[in-house]
Amino acid sequence: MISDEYRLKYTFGVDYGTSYVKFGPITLNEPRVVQTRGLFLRDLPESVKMRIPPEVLTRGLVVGDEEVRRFLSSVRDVQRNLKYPLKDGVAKRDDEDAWRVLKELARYTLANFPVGDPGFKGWIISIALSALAPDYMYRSFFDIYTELAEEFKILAVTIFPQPLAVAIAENAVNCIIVEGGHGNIQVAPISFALIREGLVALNRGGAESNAITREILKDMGYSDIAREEYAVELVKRSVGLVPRNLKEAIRHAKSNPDKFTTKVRLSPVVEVEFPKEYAWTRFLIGEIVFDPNHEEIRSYIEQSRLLIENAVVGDVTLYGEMDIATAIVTSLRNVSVEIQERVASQIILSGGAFSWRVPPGLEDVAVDSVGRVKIALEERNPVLASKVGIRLVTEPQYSVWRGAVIYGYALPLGLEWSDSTKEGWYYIKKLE
Amino acid sequence: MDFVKLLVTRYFTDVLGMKYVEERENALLFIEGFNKVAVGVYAADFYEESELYKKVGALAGLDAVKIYLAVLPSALPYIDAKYFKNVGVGLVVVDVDKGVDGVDVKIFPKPRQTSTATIDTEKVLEVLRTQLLNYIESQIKRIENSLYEKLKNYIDQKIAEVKKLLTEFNQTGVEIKRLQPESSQTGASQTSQPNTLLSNDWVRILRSKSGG
Repeated sequence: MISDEYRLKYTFGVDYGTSYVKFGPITLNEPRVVQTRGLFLRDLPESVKMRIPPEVLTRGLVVGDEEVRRFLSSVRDVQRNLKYPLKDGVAKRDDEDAWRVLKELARYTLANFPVGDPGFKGWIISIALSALAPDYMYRSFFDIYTELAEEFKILAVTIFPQPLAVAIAENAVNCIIVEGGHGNIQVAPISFALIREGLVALNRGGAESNAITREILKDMGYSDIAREEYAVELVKRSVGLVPRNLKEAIRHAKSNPDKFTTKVRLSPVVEVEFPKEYAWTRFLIGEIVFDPNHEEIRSYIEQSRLLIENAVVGDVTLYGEMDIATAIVTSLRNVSVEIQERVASQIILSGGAFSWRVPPGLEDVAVDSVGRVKIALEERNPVLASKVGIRLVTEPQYSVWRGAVIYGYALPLGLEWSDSTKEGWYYIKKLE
Repeated sequence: MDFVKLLVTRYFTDVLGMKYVEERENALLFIEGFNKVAVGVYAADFYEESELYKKVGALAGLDAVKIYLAVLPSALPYIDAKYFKNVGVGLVVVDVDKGVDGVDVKIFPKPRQTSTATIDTEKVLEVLRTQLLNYIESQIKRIENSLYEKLKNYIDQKIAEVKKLLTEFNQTGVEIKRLQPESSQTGASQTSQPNTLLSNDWVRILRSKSGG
């Protein structure tokens, strides 16, 4: 019999994000973080092979930020051997390398917490995956943990969607979670559980902001800087603005360009300057996340400098051009009418794509994400807008992990995994 | 004769900066730093060579680091400077007509190992030991006080936590699970999760699912 005290010690949460895996037992205040990537130790010179521990060499790949960095310079073809297994939170079914990296990451997370307690019977593992994750990903993760059970003590494993984890961490029972990641935005209605029929995904996110920032940099004559993803990300974070209304904001910026000119220092020797004639483009960087349907953004698409299109991940279509307000309304329409009002009572924004600042003095034309979604809803559906409360998550980085450990602690252990409800505990069958 | 001793005493104290201690066995004893200095005074109208050697021999038996023999200028023809240097005894010539200015060290003595030095070292060690003990005692007291303060704060904090948990227990009627710190091997810190769990509606909702 597993007691609550036991679960308060040995529930283990893992959030498999596209860029980072956040993991650790319930006893942590904050999870540990590791980049979601692995380095295959192929094409190694013999001299390097001799320095690698035999068990690592046998597995043929390393994960963990430090470990990957240590071997990165030794691997000849980094492009081929450095593997990011998740795209939009999903690993392809037949991508063997991706699944090998995910298994190694699973091993790494557990190996970080050796247990010496004689009362330890095994970890109770709660995994949060993208809401877009197809069924085969659930099965593959169960297989991974079944194999790892030979190496680590594992009692049971459960998997549930990340938006639900955010709702749990935010203690929101009826809500709409809008998770803005790098590759996509997921709108997930929640009422005591994730309402899968209402899941709407957009094929946009932080990556599109980066893409338009890159094109603007090229136009301004910074083609060399535009090649570096790191520099583009930094420029986006520093200069990107979310407009209250794009047309008015551009008009304002064009008539008062001095107010919007800015400089970004990327290093002691590199500085990017947004001159008067390009100052207005700062609004495109933020706006593209919320609504790409503007003439100014379309011109980039028409010149094939920007690609915004629908995509299919698993059995979900990710809409390219749908604006955020339409996505929320569409999501809500798929929820039973009876509970629509309750679900719409609060909209919670999470993820890095919603992390925008309003510089002092620009409050009249720029807003933060909460303000922008509110304005978009008011334009799209004033009745709905008057009834919702919109807020950002309190802990953008760790809310999914926190939700995972709470879910792992609370979900009754007597509830066995069901493929149809995607709920319950998958018990590891001990190998004879 | 006493006038010669007076001049020697004044020279050794005023000019050489030694401290006069006493006169013993026909020798004037001074302290120079931690060391004893003995000055034998041999003043006579007519000097005898054999008597000089006797005086030097007697002085050599004294327990002092430096030994001088003070004589009048009339003794100089009988002085064998090599002998004095060999035995390490210094020679002071006192010209009484010139007063203190007439006192002159002709041969400097060789410092000798004596038991006096050992005694002084012991004293120094004793002083050092005492000071060290005082320092250690003060440090121990400081550490005791600091430990006491820390323990007191820790216990006060724990009492406050228990009180808070009891209040919550009384308010919610939910059984409060006290979180045990993780084993040291995991390196994890204790957390505020139980409080988060207590107030989280999802815990109640999930627990109510069948199978619980």
